[in-house]
Amino acid sequence: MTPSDDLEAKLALLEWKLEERIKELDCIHSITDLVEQPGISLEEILQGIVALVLPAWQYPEVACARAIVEGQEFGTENFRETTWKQVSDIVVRGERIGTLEVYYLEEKPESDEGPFLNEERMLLNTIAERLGRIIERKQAEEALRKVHDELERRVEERTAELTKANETLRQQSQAIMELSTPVIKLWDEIVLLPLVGVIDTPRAQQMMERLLQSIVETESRVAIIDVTGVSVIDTSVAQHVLKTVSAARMLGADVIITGFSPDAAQTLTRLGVDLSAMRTRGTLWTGIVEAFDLIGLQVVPRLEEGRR
Amino acid sequence: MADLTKIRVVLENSRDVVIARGAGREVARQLGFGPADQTRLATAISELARNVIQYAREGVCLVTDESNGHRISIKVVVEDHGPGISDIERAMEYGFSTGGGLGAGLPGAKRLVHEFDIESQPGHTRVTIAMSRPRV
Amino acid sequence: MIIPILRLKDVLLTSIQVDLTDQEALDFQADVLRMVSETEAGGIVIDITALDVVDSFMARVLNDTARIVRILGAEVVLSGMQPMVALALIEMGRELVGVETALNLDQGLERLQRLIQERTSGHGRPD
Repeated sequence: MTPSDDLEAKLALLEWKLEERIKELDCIHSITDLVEQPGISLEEILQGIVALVLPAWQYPEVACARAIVEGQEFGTENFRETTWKQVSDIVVRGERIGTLEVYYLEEKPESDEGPFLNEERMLLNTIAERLGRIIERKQAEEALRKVHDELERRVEERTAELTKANETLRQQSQAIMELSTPVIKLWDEIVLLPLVGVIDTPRAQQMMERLLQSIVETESRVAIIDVTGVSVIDTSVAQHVLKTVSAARMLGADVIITGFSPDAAQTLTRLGVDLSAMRTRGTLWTGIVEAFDLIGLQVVPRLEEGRR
Repeated sequence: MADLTKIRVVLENSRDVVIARGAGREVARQLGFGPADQTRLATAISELARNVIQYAREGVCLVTDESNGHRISIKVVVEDHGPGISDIERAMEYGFSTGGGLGAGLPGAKRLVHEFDIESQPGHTRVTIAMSRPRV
Repeated sequence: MIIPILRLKDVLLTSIQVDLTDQEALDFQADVLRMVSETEAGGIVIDITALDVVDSFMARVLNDTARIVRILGAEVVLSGMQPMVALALIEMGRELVGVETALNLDQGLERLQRLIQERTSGHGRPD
C-alpha cells in the first residue's frame, strides 16, 4: 500500500462519511418540515416519520421502519420484522411510551451494531427523542384544544341560558303588563278599569283596547275608568282615554272617569285637553252611583225587621 | 300555507277592495299584530284601494312582510296609473274631496298607520303605508 | 247580495253578515229606506257584528241611512259594532254623528223601543 493509496482510501472514507452525514441532516430537515405543517395530526406525523428515516440508513432499499406509540403501530408499507433491527425508546415526561425501530429485510455485512452503524444509532436516538418532544407538544395542544372547546361550549350554554332568561323576562313583563290592567266586572253591565302607577303610551294604548273588548264581551253599558292611582297623566295618556271614551260611546256604552286630582285636571285643561267631553266624577264611589243610575238601578237600604 | 311574505292584489273593481283589505288583515295577523292593528291596517288599505277604483279605475296593492329579529313590520304599497293627485297637500286635508266622498280617505288612512308616504304625478300614483311593533 | 230585512211587530231588524262592496252597501241603504217607508215601521236595528272593517265610505253610508230614516219619521239603532272597528273610526277622525248605537241586538231593540216611545210622546230630540 503506497502512501498515495492510503490517502485516497482515507479520502474515500471521509467522502462516504460526509454523504452519510448529509443523509442524516436531510432526514432531520424533512422531519422538521413535516412536523411544522399546520394542522397536522400526531398520526400523520408518525406515519410520515417512519417513511422519512429510511433514506438516512446505509441500505435504504432493504430497510423498513415502524413506530409504536401507546400500542398503536405505524409502519412503512414494506414493513416486516426481521432479526436485523435497531430500536430506540420514545420517552415522554420520563416515561417510555413506545419505540422507533429500523429493520433490514436481508442480511448485510456486520458493522458497529450488527449491520448498523454507530452514526445510525445516534440518528435513531435523536429522532426518537425528537418524537418524544413532538408527542409531548401535540398532547399539550390537544389538552389545550379540549379546554378551549369546553370553554366555548360553556359560553354557548350560558348564552342560550341568558337568551332563555331574557325571553322569560320579556314574557313576564308582558304578563305583568296584562295583570296591571285588570278589567273588573263590577256589576251586571258595569265594568271597572282601575289604573295604577306609571302609565306610558304603549300601556295606555293596550289598556284602552282591552277595555273596549271587555265592554263588548261583558255587554256592559257603562265602563268606569278610575285614575286615582295614576301618578302622572300626561297629554298622550289623556288622549288615549279620550279616544276610548269616544270609541266606547260609538259601541253604545258610556264611560265615567273617576278620581282626577284637581292638579291633573288643571294641567290637562291648560294643555288643551277638553275634559268636558268626558263624563267625570271626583271619586270612584260617586262614579259607581252614577253608573247604577245609568243602567236604571239604585242602591237602597235593606228593610229589616225591627228597624225604624 | 301560502307564502305570506308578499301578496299582490290587482284592483279592478270594488270587490277587489274587499279582497285587498282582507289580505292585509290576514298578513298582519300571521305576523303577530293584534286585533286593533289588524283593523287599522285593513281600514287604511280599504281607503287607499277605493281611491284607486274611484279615480284611476285600476291598480295594484302589494302587501309585504318586512319583519326582522326585533320587530314585526308590514308594508303596503298601493299603486295606479291614473290621472294622479294634482294637489297632494289639499288631498291630505281632512274633509277635502274631489270625488264626492267624505274627504276622510287619505288623511284617515294616514292616522291609522305608523308610516305614510305619497308620491303622485299624472300617470303614476303610489301610496306606501307601514306598521311596525316590537316583537313580544 | 241581498241582505234580508225582517219585520218584528212594529220594528225592522237586519244584520249585515258579510263584507260589503261599495255598491252592495248603497243597495243595502236603498233597501232599508224602501222598507222603512213601505212598512211605516217605527224604527230599525242594523246589526253590524260581522263587519270587521268600517271605513269612511261605509261610515258615511250608515250615517246617511240613519239621517234619512229619521227624516222618514223612524228611528235607527246600530248594534254590535266591533270594538276595534270603533277604535279605528275614532282614530281616523270619524264620528258616527247622529247614529244611536247599542252593544248587541238585545240592547239595540231595547234602545230602539225607548227612542220610538220618546218620539211618539213628543220628547224626541230637537234635531
